[in-house]
Amino acid sequence: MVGLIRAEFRKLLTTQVWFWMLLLCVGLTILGVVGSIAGQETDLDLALHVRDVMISASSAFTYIPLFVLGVLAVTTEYRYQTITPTVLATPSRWALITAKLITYAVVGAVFAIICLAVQLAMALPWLSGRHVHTTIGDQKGPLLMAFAVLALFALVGLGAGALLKNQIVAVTVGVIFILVLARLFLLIPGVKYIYPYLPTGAVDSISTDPHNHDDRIINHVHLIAPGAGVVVLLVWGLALAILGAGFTMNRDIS
Amino acid sequence: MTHPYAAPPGAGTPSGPDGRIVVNELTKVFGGRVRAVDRLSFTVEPGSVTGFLGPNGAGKTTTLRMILGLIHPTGGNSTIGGVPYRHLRNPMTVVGAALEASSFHPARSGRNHLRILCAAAQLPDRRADEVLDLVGLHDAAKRKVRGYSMGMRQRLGLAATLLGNPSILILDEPSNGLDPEGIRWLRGFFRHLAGEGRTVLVSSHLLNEVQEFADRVVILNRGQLVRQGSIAELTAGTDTVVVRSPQPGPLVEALRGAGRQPDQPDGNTVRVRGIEMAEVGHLAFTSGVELHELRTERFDLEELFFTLTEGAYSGQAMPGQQAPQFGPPQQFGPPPGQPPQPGPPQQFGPPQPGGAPWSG
Repeated sequence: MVGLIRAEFRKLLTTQVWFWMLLLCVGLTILGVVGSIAGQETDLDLALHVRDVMISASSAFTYIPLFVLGVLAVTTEYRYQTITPTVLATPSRWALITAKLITYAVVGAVFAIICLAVQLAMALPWLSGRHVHTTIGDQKGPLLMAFAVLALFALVGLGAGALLKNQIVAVTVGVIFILVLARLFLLIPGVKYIYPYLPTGAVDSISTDPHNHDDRIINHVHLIAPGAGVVVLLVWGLALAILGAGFTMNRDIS
Repeated sequence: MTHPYAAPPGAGTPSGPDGRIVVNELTKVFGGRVRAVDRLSFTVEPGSVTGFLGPNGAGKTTTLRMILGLIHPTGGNSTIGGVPYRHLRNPMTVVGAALEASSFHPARSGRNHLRILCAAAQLPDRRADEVLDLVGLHDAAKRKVRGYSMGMRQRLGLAATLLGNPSILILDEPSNGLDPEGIRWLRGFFRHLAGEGRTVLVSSHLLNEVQEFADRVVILNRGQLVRQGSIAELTAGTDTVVVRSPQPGPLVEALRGAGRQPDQPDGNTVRVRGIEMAEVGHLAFTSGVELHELRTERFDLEELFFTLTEGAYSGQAMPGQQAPQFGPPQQFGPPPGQPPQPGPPQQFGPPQPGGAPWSG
């Protein structure tokens, strides 16, 4: 397994996709921090929304590049047919998907740490400049939640890629589902209650201030606890990957 | 430079005792309708080079992919050293396989492609450089694959097969896209592999090339086995002696008297199969027949192939899907290939110092 994980890291690091995705994540994080701080007109408003600032690394769609990176981990193999030498070296699809899951969990965590570092490097001095004093220790909860969203979305993407296999379909369908379709569920009576259990709803559950009860109800749908949102994302990632390895990736490679 | 075939840790020993490939009643039906491979059985013996032949669409690639666990068979099974490919512990040290020349990420260098496979198979990274040297790609090792020619990609694929120093090699149309220089290089490469006692199963449509390096052939048509055996076995007794004489009548009589069945395609020419040229010469001499020409026409692999796969190119159904019996002379149209051109043996090896490396 160690060799397979090393191989997956080499696959990632020997092309430039990771670099551009990281740049995009950092750019979105910067936009998120700017928006969450500059959007508050008074220092008092800002003091009331410090949590939003501290979670901006995960709420500014920063998870989308990580989702795409996860999708590419599998679909690129099919697009360029490198799946053939990969499977010849590792006939077990289960071993292969496990190595990818472990690798992209680490990659997601590293991306999350970098984005959070950028967020803190910008936000702490800026908040201080606007007379809002806080520390990393005070904001452990939101920071951990932001970390979880970023780290887990790479796995959700990996699972989607394993299930759909086709790169364009997986990226397009995945991004449209996360950004648009999932929110449309909220408009459908009866069906809308599954929203918190979709990846987008899980992100909302994690990102929304747990003490702000009004914001945690969307169209009469109660968001789930932030911790439960983390579990939902993890389950999505693992379930899609298992389905992908068991069905799609196990099909003939011809 | 380290010897390119220095066995890495865990590598199989070339020509090991378990190098037999057994295909047993292998069947693949796509979509419930298209029977690509139909109850195919054959054996590739350890240490032999076997040509896997058949027209386009005969089921060669599907068969190789089933042997390698990439395609699930509808029926039957295949084993390598008694074990299905999927159950081999570290397959790259047992079997090296190259199936297509396009299985590379274009933005990745050839060296990195191989290093990824080294990591997956737990082989030392130096193997990547060793096999790149071996196939003459050392200078292009750090170039992105998108800048490789087709020939270079084929050689990169062949380099990947050798990473684990396997005793068995399975290669699907490795000569596709190669220019004549590349094909000559490939011929030497096969000789080199065969000389090391590796088991090689190679599908190819270059019949004359196969004839030069293969010990045995397996011929496939429409998913079914048509013939297997050594080339010598398959063509035994099929050479034709051609005689040109101004007095063919007495010679035909003499041949019939000797129990032969001569053919007289035109007025002055007599053809007779399954007889030595010297015997015909002797019969002519004892019959007092003047000869203007006496020669032996070799029935080579190409003719055998087109005989056995007759109809494959014209859409005709094989009669009853039965393996045709090879035997009496048949009239062939000109085959879509040239007669074999035996050339001097080629020395395989990396580009020589001072010599122009083949860039494919």
